[in-house]
Amino acid sequence: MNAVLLAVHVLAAIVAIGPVCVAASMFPPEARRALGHDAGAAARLPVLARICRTYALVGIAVPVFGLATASSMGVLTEPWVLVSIALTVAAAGVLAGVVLPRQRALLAGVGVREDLVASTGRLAAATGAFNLPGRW
Amino acid sequence: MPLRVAATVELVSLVVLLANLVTVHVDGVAALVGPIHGCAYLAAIALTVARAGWRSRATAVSLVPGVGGWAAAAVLGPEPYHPSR
Repeated sequence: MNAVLLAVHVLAAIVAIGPVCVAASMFPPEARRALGHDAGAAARLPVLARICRTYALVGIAVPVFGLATASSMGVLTEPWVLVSIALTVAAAGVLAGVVLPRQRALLAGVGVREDLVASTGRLAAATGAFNLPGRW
Repeated sequence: MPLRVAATVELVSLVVLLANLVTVHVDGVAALVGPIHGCAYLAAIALTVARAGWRSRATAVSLVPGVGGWAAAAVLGPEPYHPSR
């Protein structure tokens, strides 16, 4: 049973978190190009945001099956497990609390253009913060 | 549609877990269906938050274990059609 849980955990991590990392880090430069009236970038932007949203949802399986694996292996209180739980919580918070809402706000395109351009920089910083523990 | 799928998995997996608990009590079923139920429960909450926001009635009812997903789907009603999505 440990092997099944671990396999689902690792596969979910590869399949779900990878696309979010790539699509989320492509989003800010594409958003800047779209704000510079690049029609192609403007068309690609909703696709990138949708990849982030959809695969973030699939990514719920990673911590859930990770906890199940750790619990069934009896290693839930090991320091490395606790550290990775903390990193996962932080990454999930940045993704759900900052990256996805700012992507949505940029897609809506409400506000002054200069503010939107500036917000792509902050979004890029938040995305980098998500990607660090995400890749760990 | 995704919310209804998550809500159905949430409810069915909980019924399977409880049925397993009161009848044969196989550990393997609990170990595998448990995380599936957890994923469906969190996915239903996330889908509700994505549509209705954090401070909404739909999100509050989505937190109810087992039937929260369906309750949230009922509160939200059918999803409006977005050609761009």
